[in-house]
Amino acid sequence: MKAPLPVAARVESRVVASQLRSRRRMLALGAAGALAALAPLALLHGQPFWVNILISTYLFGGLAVAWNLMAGFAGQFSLGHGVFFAVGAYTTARLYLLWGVSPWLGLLPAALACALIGPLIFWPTFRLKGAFFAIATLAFNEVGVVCANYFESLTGGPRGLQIPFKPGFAQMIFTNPAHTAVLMFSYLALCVAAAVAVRRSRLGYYLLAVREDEDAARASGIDVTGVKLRGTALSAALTAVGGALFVMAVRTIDPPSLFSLPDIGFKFALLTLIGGIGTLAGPVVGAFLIIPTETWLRATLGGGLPGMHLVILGGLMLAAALFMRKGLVHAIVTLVERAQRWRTKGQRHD
Amino acid sequence: MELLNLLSIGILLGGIYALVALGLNLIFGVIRVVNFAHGELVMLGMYGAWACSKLLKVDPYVTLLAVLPALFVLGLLIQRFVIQPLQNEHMMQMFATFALLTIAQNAVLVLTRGEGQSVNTALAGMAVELGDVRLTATRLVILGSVTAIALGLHLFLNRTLLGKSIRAVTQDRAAARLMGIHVERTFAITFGIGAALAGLAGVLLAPIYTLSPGIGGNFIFAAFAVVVLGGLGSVAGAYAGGMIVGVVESFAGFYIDPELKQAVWFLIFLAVLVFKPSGLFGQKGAEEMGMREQT
Amino acid sequence: MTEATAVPFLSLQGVGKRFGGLAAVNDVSFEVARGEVVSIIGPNGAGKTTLFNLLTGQLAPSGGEIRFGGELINSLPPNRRAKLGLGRTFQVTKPLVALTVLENVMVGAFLHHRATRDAETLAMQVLGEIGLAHRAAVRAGELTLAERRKLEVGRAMAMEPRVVLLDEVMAGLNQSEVDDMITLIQSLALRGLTLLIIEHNLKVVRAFAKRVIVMDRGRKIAEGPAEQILSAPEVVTAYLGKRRQ
Repeated sequence: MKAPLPVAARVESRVVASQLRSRRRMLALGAAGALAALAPLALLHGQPFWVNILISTYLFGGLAVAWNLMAGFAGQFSLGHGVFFAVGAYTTARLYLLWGVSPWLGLLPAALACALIGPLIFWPTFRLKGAFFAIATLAFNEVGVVCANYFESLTGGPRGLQIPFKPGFAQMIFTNPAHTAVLMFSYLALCVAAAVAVRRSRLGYYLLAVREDEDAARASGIDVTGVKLRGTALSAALTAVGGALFVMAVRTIDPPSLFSLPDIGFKFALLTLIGGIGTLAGPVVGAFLIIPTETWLRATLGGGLPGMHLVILGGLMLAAALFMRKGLVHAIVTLVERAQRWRTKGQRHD
Repeated sequence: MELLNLLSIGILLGGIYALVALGLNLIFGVIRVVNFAHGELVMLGMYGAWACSKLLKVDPYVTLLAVLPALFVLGLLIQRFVIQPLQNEHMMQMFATFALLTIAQNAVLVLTRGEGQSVNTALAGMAVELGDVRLTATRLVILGSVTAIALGLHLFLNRTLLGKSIRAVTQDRAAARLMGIHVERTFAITFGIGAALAGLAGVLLAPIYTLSPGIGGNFIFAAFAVVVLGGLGSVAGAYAGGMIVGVVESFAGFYIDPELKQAVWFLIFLAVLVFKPSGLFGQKGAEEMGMREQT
Repeated sequence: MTEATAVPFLSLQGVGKRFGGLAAVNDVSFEVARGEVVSIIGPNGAGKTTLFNLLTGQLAPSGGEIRFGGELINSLPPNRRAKLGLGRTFQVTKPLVALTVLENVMVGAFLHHRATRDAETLAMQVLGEIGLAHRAAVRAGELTLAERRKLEVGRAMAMEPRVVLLDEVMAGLNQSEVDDMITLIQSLALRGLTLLIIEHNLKVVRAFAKRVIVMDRGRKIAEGPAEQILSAPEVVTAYLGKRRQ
């Protein structure tokens, strides 16, 4: 723009004011969210059953947030994230078992490896759209299973890897499950913070633009492939870290447990879609909704009738898909907006 | 004559894959929805054959008369009540089919209490010997059936009005609608036919495999590889693709490590998607269509 | 207005695009000077939008050379050309539907401003200039046609371009919306931006363009000052067909 227009000064101050408001609002929401997420742990820290549920909830919530970076922000529905999860788990476990490398350090090469190879293997599939991209990434997951079974020296083959119970902070193994839960919560907080930072940055806007309309994005100067690669790298790295935390928490891994679609690969999608894909809170909300429900169902029904709890869970999933098409967060936001519109309509009549 | 043996195994296997792929090809190719539950439709066909043959004391092949219409109706219902409402939310749509998969697999698990079942037919144990090569009757039936079905499907799509309207809808929904074709009804019928074909595959496969609720997974990946390789919407492609995948798998299992054999499907699949997404016989750009917003 | 410099700002030499046997654009050559406003007219199917797509890099030319500021840009992808200063609107608007109006324009603003705060400031400024500031928080999917058209222009403006290609921005607008848009385009021209305008509305063409280029069936059939061109017989024939005796 050439000469600054007189309105610019007013606009500038209005923008800065709105940015301050929105940043303050964001911090407030973030703090409230963190407290809400930690509250159950504070209340239930003495009951192992519930603490274990929280461990899973925090971990998979973070994993779903990481998945959402690619699927929600960039619009790339990946079913291959199990590969990153597995790489994180195997790398950390192997480094620990072979050379005693602390998992705190071991997760770094895992994350780095995924940040570099993730985009590389996904790159040829970027020009595939929608369903084709989904099943191509599904193929990645299945190739991953085969490789994991085959390369025994790296992964322990079909028997997998076991980590002996040797508690200690450096080993990321805790006697008190509540400590593991705090660790997982930190992971969730890290992922959410990363997602918020991305969303508010240029990369975030570019990812959304690429999702909405690639041609318009290109015409606006966006390097579409580069943006997709960067989004993939971040998403993959965060997922790998989740895998590293997972292996130190469960201490036994094998190809079925890492590459299972219903438990891992598709679960990220499940949590995110139910909560609201593309939103910041969606994956977290989805995790808090689904994982306790699923665990409770399995505990109450699993023994008597094998499979029954999954029939019910599947039914709930189907119902959620049909009646909350854009996820829970969107449904709530719509209700709130509608309520606000009611209020302003009422206010206007005075 | 190792080569001949491998080839014949591959072709018979190919027949099985083509059979499952024909139904998937119709659904994926026409409606553009990734039906994760397709393997479960096959599984339901298998269990349907088992249940009917036990209850009615007939040879499993006869149960076709009951299983086919049942699965056709199931397909109609799935399309109308699950797929159709989610047509603008593609990710949710895929997710919903996965939910169907979960429900189907576990419902059968609950009902059969996890016991494997098997189906007996008069043809069991019969085989044809061609020199050193042994071709079992049950697999020959499949090969013959899939060839007949492929021909029939091709004629249906090209010579009948319904078939042509299905092809029209595959190419351009908006234009088809303007021609007076009722798109939603066409989709419902297509899904019904696709499901019926899956059920047919189930009935024909029942004598060969031990039934278990998760058996759908054995076929679904190979079927997707076949559909992608052959080209979306192409019957000839599904047939040829099935044969190719079957033969490649047979040879790979023998010359390369049998453990890596499964990876063959996915590598074929990925190679096709990356280098020639329209497949061998498909229309160029067909894979783009249907991914955009549709009126 | 500025005079044409020695090196033409935008130049096309023998540019063509074939789709199979059909030449959608056939051997088109012309030059545009910095700060000029040039209008491209012609009947439907003449290849005007294809020409824009060739200029912005959406399509690769089958032949010929396209130069921007003297540099050959034939092989540059669309995002690189945008960075060089080539902005455009699309004939069928492409709003980023799930984003707000402000966010849409910010996407353009980010091109030359990395920081979110700067992009937001610039975007608000642009919104003020195009008259959409009051709709800043509205999702782009809920805009009217006229607003979507303005948004397209706004997103291009936020990229701080040197050339803007406007593709039938008046189509489907009523009279007052057209006047609104004319004011907007005038402000762009006043800033010294080089404009290429595809337009069917001849009133608009007369209001702006010093120079008019006429295309028909992929070829350039006439070029010259607006007054002269708009009454030339071959132009009338191209639009209306041969006069029957």
